[in-house]
Amino acid sequence: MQKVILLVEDDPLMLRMYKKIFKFEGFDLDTAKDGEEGLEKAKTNKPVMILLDIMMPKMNGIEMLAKLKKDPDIKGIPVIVLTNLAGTRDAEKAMALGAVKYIVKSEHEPKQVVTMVKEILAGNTAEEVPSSS
Amino acid sequence: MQEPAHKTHYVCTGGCGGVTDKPNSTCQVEGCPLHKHPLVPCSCKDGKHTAVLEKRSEELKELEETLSKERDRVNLIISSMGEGLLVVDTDRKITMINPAAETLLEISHKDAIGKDWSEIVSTLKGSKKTPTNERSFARTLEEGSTIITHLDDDHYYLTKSGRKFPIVSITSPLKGAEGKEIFGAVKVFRDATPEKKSKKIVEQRVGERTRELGEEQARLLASLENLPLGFFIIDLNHNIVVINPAMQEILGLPNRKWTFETMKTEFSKSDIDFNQLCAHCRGVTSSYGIDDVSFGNKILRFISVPIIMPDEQEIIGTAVVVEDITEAKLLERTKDEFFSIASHELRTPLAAIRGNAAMLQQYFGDKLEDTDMREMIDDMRASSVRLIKIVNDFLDVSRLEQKRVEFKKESFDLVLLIKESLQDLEGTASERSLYLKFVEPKGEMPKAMGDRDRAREVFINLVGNAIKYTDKGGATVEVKKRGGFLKVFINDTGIGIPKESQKLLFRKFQQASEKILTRDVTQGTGLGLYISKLLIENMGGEIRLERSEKGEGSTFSFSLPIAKEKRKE
Repeated sequence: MQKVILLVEDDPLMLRMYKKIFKFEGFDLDTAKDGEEGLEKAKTNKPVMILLDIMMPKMNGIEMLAKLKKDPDIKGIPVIVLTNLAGTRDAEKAMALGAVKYIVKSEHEPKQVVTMVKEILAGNTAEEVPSSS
Repeated sequence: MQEPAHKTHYVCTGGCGGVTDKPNSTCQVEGCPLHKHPLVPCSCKDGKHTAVLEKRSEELKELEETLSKERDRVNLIISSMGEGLLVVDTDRKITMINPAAETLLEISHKDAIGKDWSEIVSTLKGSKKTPTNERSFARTLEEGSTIITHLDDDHYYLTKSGRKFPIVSITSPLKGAEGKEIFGAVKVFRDATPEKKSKKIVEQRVGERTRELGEEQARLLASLENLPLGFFIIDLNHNIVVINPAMQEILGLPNRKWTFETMKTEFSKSDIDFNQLCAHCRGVTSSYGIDDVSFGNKILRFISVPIIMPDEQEIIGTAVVVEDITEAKLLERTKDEFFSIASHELRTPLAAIRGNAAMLQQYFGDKLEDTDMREMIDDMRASSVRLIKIVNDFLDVSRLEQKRVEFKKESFDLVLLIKESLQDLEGTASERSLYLKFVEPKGEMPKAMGDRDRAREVFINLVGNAIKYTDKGGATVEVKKRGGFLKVFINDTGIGIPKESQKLLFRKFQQASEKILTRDVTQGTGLGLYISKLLIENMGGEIRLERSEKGEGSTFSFSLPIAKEKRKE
């Protein structure tokens, strides 16, 4: 079954790393390099989940998330925010806008990230997913 | 009229010679001093009217006595006077001089009487000699008016002996009964030296005080001019009484003369409520401040205070201080951005190293048969993990020390937090074959107040340390109520901490300076306990080493305030 996951991330290092893990785990991964492209691809391909980086050119992750949640077509897609920023201010903003989870990339190895994605897709809510972000 | 001898007759004692034998008569002679007065019986025998004469001489005697008494009295008054008194005739010759005048003018009575006033004494105005016709006596005699000399007129007398002294005087004309004829003048004067001296002292003091006030005012003005903060004062009538250059600069129009209205208009362009600032003018006594107001391209901070007179407790105006904090705010923003970007930039490549090394191990294990290869990849992964921790710690310390960290204030279940965290650490502990035990508290524990995530961080740090420094056995955790706090104890069966090192535990890098080269760098940055201390103390709690013995393990503790529960309705 083709489950498309959309990864919105501008850093090539991160893109390549996550592409690999999702490939190893049998997921179909689509990628976008900024918020604008991300919105387009979300509308076109209707992924089952969006992994969203915050710090991006043109339109950052928070801006994209806000726009996403206003569009009836795509606002139902669960969003996990991936970032390396310090401080909890952005995390809180993302959660307030409706993201289901907030993950600091350097704190979790790729396999852990995939496990979390699987659990959310399996129907668990954000609160039930154990372990910290 | 011939009077009969021995017949009673009546005479007038006025000297007119009037005689009659009619009793109860009055004098009929006009011009007689006793005209119309009753006539008295005359007891003369020889026709010489001795009664009249006797009466007259009696009356004369009485008059003389009265006169004499009066004269004595007047003399007494004149002699006792402290002021000098002089009387001159129309030729300005002295006809009377009292003892006080004698003393002051250094002349005796007999030498003065009959002499011209100008011969005795000269009058000076300041240092200039007054010509004779301008002197008071001359003018009084000429004009018939009273002349008063005041202290300010700066008159002096110069005696023959050369003594000069300041005087004040009153010179009055002596007029006849009808008030038309002037027959002399009288002067009362006194030595005004003491008065002049006092006046001089007072003038000196006033001069000094004025100078002091002038200096004070100059100092204040200089301070205001140079104050790097904007300053202005508004009085009760809404006049701007003081405004310093710094304030002019903040307003941006340095040469404008500002009024209440123009300033109000200028400030209304931003969010500043000018009326609020000047509320003191309407009787409000508390100070008023606004932080962070945008004004044009500047960010300002306002403080306004009432000006209260110390004795009367009366408000006389408002003083406003304005600070341009644009630079400071920008700097703050820059620092925040720096931390954000710095952490992001460092963490991204580190995440890549860690992630890729992990994936190599997890998905290419079969291709890594060579133990050296496996070890190298393992080292790469471990290094990245350590680096990530170091970056996190450094960033945490910087932010905590700069007070850039926001702490949530929430009540949370500490017991639950402990259980969850221990579950997370189970893996690490079992890798080293250690146990993690939690002694469940008896009875229900109240919630703790603080930042849950940060509390978790501290707990994980302490248990993590326990695991790190224990080779055999494990760690035990307990929670107890202690006063208004919940106290968590973490006890391990590890290697313990020697006494010398115990003092350095919660310091940065836990290291005394001489030993900087002999550090155990394999066990992390040494910032963990320092960060934990900063975090716990920020939440109002305490963290400490309860006990430790080399080879006997250690017990650490941290406390958090108990959340105050609102009673549920």
